[in-house]
Amino acid sequence: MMTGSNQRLLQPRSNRALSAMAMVGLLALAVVLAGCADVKPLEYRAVDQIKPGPGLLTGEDGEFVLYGSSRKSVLD
Amino acid sequence: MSMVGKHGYLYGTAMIVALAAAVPAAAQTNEELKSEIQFLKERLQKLEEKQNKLEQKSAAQDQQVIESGNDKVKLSISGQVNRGVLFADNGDDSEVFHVDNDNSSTRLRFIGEGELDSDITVGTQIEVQFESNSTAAISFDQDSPAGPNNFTERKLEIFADSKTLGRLWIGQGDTASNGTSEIDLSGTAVVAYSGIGDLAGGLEFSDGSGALGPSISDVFSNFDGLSRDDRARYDTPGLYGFKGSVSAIDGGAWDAGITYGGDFNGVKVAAAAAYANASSRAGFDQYNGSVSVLTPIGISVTAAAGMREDDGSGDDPVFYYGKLAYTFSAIDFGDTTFGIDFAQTDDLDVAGDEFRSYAIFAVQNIDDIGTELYIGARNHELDREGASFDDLFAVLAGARVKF
Repeated sequence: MMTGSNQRLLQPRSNRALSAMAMVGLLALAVVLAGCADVKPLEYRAVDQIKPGPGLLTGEDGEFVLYGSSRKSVLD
Repeated sequence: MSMVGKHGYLYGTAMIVALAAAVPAAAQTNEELKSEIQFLKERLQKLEEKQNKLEQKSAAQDQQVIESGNDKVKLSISGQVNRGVLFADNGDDSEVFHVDNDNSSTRLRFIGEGELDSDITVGTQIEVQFESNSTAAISFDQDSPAGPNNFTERKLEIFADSKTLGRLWIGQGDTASNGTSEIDLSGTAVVAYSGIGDLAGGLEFSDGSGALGPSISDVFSNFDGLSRDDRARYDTPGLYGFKGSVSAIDGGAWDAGITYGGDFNGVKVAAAAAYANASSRAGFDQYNGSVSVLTPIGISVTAAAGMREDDGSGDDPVFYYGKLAYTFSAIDFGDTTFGIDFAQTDDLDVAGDEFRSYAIFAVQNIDDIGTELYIGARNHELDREGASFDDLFAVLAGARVKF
């Protein structure tokens, strides 16, 4: 009897293959671009996070410092 | 000059005039007048000195309200409100909802951190959201706004950060794979990103019979890792723009992810990929990734894909996403962005399901007050064997205000 796993492997244009190809493509693009010269690291911030930058009440800092210094957080 | 300082000068001047008027000029010699003026000058000088001391003391007290002067510790609070109006039509019913936009919910965040030395920082993060009538929870069937009408958890965690060794987290927070389907540099995620179910995910399709069918969230997923959960997580330090992460999650699940960010002479590139194994508690493992490129002329291209391998039989669900956007500066307030996108998820709720969605949207930034105004129109289609569902159309307009 053929298992579910084997059935997946025997489907040449299965969803699995298409997804794997897409993922490899995405990673390959990043690696190729990383190989180029004159590249600076980019600090990426997740889209569902509170945006950096000014706030309506907090002004330029974008946060209220309740206690301590106004230095930048390591999470920013 | 402060108001208090102005008053000091006015007071001194008034004193000079009043005294000069009160003394008959004829009765005074020049020497007496000089003596009086000298006396008044000295009085005025003393008053100014006293005034300056009071102002300095007041300024010092104001500063102490927000800062302790200790540069090794910090406690900060930030947050945002994101509200909108959503119109939706599923072919059988149409309604207007006043919603909290689940693309980026209304929330509060507290971050506390202290430096152990020049390398290591230890900290805590508490982030909670308060969504009234969330776009992810609304229904055509509801008679009153969707709850839960209380704060719900997002992040409750402790971290130790080393510039040389990386960062260790424990508590409720992002798993290593969370966000890896959602890399997006377009600046439009507040209204459209790969998690397209956040715009109107709770709403249901209709087959025209009056009965509600599956919701958008039932048939769509961007397979974005294992979300936020109770876990221990480790992030490597950055190396040429790459960072790796692994996490062990409550219930026996685990995941690993890698992210990349680089700037190629103004062309910004960000990418991520992840593997998540939730077989022990949810019966699947998952592969996903995304990439986004923003050019100096404002055109951005974003793509994402993912696949879930269910432990049971049947077709494995897959997901694809693409977005094209253009950002420009038309007004002084901030950037303007227009965009279009397309998303597809197959075989998620029922084998053979084909879900597709496409949208057009715009975001206007008002930088100085931390505000984004947005509008997006999105159509949702579901093809299912043995059923016929009408398209579900939704328009969301609103504002996200960072306070």
